[in-house]
Amino acid sequence: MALVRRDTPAGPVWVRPPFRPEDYSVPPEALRLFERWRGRGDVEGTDALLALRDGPFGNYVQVDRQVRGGRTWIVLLEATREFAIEVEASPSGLGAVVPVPPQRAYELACARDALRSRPVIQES
Amino acid sequence: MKTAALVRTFILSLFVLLSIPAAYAGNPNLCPVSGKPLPTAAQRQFTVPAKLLPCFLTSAELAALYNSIGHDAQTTVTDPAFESGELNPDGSLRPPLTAGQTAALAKMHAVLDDDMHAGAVIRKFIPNSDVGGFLYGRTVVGSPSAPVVVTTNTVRGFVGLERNTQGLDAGETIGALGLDFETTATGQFTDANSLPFRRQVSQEVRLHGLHSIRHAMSAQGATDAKIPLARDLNDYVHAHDSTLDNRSFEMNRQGQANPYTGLGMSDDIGLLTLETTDAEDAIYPLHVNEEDVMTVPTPLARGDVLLRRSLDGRETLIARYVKVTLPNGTVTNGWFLSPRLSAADRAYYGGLIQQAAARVTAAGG
Repeated sequence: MALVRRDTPAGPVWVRPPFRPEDYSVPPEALRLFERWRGRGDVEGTDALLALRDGPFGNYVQVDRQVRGGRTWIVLLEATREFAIEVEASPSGLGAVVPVPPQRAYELACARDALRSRPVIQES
Repeated sequence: MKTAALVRTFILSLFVLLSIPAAYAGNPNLCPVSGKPLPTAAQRQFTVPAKLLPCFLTSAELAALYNSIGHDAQTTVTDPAFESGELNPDGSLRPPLTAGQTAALAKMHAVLDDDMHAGAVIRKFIPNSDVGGFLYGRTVVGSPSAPVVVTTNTVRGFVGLERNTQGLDAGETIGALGLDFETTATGQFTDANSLPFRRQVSQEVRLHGLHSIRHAMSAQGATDAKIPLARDLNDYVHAHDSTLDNRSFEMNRQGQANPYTGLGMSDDIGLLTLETTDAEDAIYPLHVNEEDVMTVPTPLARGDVLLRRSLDGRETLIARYVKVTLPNGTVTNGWFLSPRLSAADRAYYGGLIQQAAARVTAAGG
């Protein structure tokens, strides 16, 4: 969900509209793009790939990393539209790619509100 | 009486001038703005943007384009990860794009993107440190503790049509493409300089030239090549120009010394010219262009070539990507060094290939 700018007497603020699942759902084309980087023989490991300056993932922010069952999972939050995708770290390209449920994406986005340069007003 | 006649003549001239663009617009064989013959698709591939754009954009729009460099196209980005991208190298805040600049940039991309299609000729400029790996067909990436052997049979990252740097020498090319976000004392494309916020063409390029892969785009590759735009501009393009649907993607700027513009147009950020007659702090001028990012790597094609561009603009064919039949009968593709290379060049590139092979072997490949 892209935050909305609102000008107030105290200066501009960002407004976060009330939660709606569709605002934090992963678009199919985003998932498709990640899928196309899976199982390749011509690219580096997941971490390096996600950090590429000239790759397509520059608008994603890594917000969580967990090891489950011996596999490493990285949660990425799209910085503007604020949907989230979980990818499995792989030595070459990406491993499994899983959409993060909207409620969880919303929580991850809200967790970054405190870091923003302007106040964020949460609408209910 | 004489004054009245002059006024009438002036008004008539003005009317004629104002009506010209409309007349051009009605003629499919003429440029809608300049009225010159409309270049064919083939001609457009080899017409530098500065010469092509006046066909479609007014002088005011062109001025807006040139003035857009250094402006902030991500004022609506809220994530703290991108705050540094709104700054200049000296830490000052970049001014937001004006409405006129935004509209002119969108129009420019609508014109230039038409030429990114199957068969389009692109260039991918690569650091010299990657040349050996490309020629060998495999290279090693990853950390020293966890090396990974990968194939090098694809083109990825920033690319652009060949016309973007047509006729430029190696230094001008590095400037036009904003190669690269380097901050170390010595780099592949640029080295540090004592002048504040300035870099200079690298010693590496001065010694060994600037290398690029000349690639003929496939239909899939052309679709996967998309214009990287910072959020404000990307949103505007999506809202105002259906011809660019699915042709751009949001890519915001990070790092105040990053040459990436967020405008879908590359430029250097303080690269000193090599011209000795220029002022000591003179930097390369903007060469308007459209840059793309391969959102997915695209395979090299037979007939692609590796070229070296020198400081005086000469280009030398280094290798060609050709069909190779292995001893076991398997048919594959590989690089074949040009038979016209000098003995010194053959030794140099042969050495790079040997080094790449040694790295791959050491990594277990």
